[in-house]
Amino acid sequence: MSFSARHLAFFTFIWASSSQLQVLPAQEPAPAPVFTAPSAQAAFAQGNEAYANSDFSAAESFYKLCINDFAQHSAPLHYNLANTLRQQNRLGEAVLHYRRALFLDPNMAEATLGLRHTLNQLEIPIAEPGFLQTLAQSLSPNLWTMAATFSFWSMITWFTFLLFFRRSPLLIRLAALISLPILPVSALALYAHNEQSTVGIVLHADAPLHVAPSATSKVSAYLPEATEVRLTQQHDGFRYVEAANEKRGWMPASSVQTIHIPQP
Amino acid sequence: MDPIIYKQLFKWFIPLFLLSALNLSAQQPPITVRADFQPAVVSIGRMTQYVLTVEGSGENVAGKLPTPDGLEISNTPATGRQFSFVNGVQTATFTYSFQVRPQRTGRFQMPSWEVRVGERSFTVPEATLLVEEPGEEERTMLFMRLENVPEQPFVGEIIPADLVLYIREDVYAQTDPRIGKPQSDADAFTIEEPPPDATARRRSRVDGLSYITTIWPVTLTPIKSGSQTLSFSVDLVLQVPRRRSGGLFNDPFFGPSLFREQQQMTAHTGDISLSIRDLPAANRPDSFSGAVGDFRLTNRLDRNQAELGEPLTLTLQLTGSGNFPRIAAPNLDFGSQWRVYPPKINFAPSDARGITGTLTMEYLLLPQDSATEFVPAIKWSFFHPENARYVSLETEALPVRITGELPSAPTPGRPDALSSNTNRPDSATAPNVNTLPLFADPGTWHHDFRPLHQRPLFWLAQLIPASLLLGWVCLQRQRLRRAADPRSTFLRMADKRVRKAASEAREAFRTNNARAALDAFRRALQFSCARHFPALQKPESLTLAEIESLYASKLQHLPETPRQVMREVFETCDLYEFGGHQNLSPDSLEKLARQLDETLRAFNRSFPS
Repeated sequence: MSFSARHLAFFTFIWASSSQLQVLPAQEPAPAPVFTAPSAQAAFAQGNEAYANSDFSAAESFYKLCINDFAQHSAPLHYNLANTLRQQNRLGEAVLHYRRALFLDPNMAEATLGLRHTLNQLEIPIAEPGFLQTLAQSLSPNLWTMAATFSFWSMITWFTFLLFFRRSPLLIRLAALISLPILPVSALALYAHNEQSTVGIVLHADAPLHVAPSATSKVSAYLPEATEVRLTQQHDGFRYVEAANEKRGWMPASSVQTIHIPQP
Repeated sequence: MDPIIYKQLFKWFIPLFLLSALNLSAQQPPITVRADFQPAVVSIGRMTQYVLTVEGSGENVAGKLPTPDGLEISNTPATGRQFSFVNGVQTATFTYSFQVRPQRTGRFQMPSWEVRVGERSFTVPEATLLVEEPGEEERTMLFMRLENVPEQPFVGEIIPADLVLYIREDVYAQTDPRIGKPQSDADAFTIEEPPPDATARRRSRVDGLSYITTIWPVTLTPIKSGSQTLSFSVDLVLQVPRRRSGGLFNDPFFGPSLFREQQQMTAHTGDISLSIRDLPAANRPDSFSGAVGDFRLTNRLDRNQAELGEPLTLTLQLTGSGNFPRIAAPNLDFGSQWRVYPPKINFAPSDARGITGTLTMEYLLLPQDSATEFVPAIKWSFFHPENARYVSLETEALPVRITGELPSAPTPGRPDALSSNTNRPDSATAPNVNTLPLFADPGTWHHDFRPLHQRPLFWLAQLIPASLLLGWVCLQRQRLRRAADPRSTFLRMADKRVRKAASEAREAFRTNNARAALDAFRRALQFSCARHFPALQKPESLTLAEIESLYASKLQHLPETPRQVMREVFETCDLYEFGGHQNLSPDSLEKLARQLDETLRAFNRSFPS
């Protein structure tokens, strides 16, 4: 065999080997389901439909689409989402969304019922709200704010009239008279609402409380799911948590969330 | 004396007096700066003041105060000022008093230093302070001791000591002293501060003298071995006998001074040296974790029967006296038969210092094996400082009966959470789980979860009612101001009368009532002119001649036609009033009616309000 013929044979062998040794395509993972909707309203409706079909995971995704993608909230949305989470036995998260629904609509009886059932399931005693809390929860914070604003300006207008005239018009006097008790009551209610702004809910069972904001630090205690805590500080993905039983420490931020959703 | 001499004296004295007064007022007082210690001789423990006096200037004073070794000088002086008027010269004296606390006895020299008074520099002269050992009188007046301290305590031992301030009874009775908070200097000790209400006061006798003592309970814990020192001091204000300045009466023979002065003083314990012993390394048990004192240990279970996976509560109680704050809960290792969770710890002190009491530790135990028959005994050790040896305690093993089997898929985690998980009904049996209806309508959407009052837009919107109200207030203020101004009142009245008269004239012209129309027309013109001269009492009595004389300059700018109309109106009115009845022709009346508005507009332009 001549030199060129040997080379030709060699290159033919290499080509054949390489064509046999070509990399086989990897096994592609199954595509994750994608949930899209043209609007929050549509996502809400699709979530309801998925719930009716007992596809709770899909329902949750559609409801969360309203919150995360469309940045829309409503009391029925959080309530429906809470029911969905409850069906998946994620009771801590369910409690959080029932509380959010009640924050937006304190008089939503369904959310109150759902919250009570969930807390009963978790064997968490339901604390009777104090006077201030009852007062604050009788109306939504927005209504209290409007009441406070109306009464404040009524009082100011009345005082201004008194400054210039000895008598004020009957309408303004009436408004001021009504505002006189409304202003302090609404101020108290708003104060109580503000007190709730740092309240959070533990989402997972046995959420660890670290002595320092680090996953490797010592765990001082574990908090049960749906425990109501107060969140004060934030550091490196950890939140400083104060529970009612004087347990304090750093908890991973993924394990606890405030009822109030902070504005991004 | 001869009156001529008086005259001569007056003649010379008054100019001389005026001259000297002028001369004196022209003099600028010289600026002097001096400094001294007040008092210049003090006993150790007493405070004095370094007083800088600037005389003759009220300008700013600046400089760097030297700090001689052994003197602690405050940087915040108390300032005082004084103005005097001597021989016609005003002198301002400013004093700056710095608190000085001597640290030791001896003679201290405050060196001269530069001070700037306004733009000029001055040298502050040296000042000397003599700090002496307290005399017998002062030594017995006030002192402080740390009592009930063992000579050789162990590291970690709790020492319930008393810090006692002695003030002689006669001094105490006359001063009602103001006593501060004790300060400590102890690197090798931890010191628990006494609660504010723990301070006691009682009477005692030392060397035959009566004292009122103030007692602070302090709890010391040595943290370093070897020879260690600590000291305490407390600041107080007392009325003390004034030091005699010297001379004949500065003799103990004459007894203490009758005069008293308020003094800020410091009582020191001095350096207290203690020999701290380390805990013996020999025979130290494995279960020793730093407890020093005298303790008893008990254990109990909340019940002696449980099912697998059902938590039991094991309570350990440590009773006695010692360093409870430093005691760590024992780490229980009960093997694979039990899962033990971190305890809940509670300490109930039975004394004010927290030295004696009961430490309760509640462990949650999860049985892992039904063959378990008892909760194992617990070993724990402490060091007994009085006996200088370690003591090991061991509780009894507690019998328990475990029944049942572990759930097939045990949930990891804490027992309370676990128990709730295991007891958690599934969705099929949960009460009303599936009966809660879903909302088909999402209701009102909220883009912002924050309440209204936490949004910036809400606060911005408040500017609308605020500005409306502010605008209204401004209008009202302006209206009130105008109402209070007689000129503006008159002008408004005149305008109103002009409008009213014009309206009446129009009505009269319409009904062909010439007399009334001309009368109203004239009134309108009179009030139009009167706006330029508000001092007029009765504008309706203005005559044509008065208008032409008073407002000649204004009338020059008036076009000819309105002037003619005015004359015609006034003259016709006069004829009506004084010249008997005269009817105007309908043409003249119609012409006047047409000219009414034009004339009044022309007058308005010429006689603006």
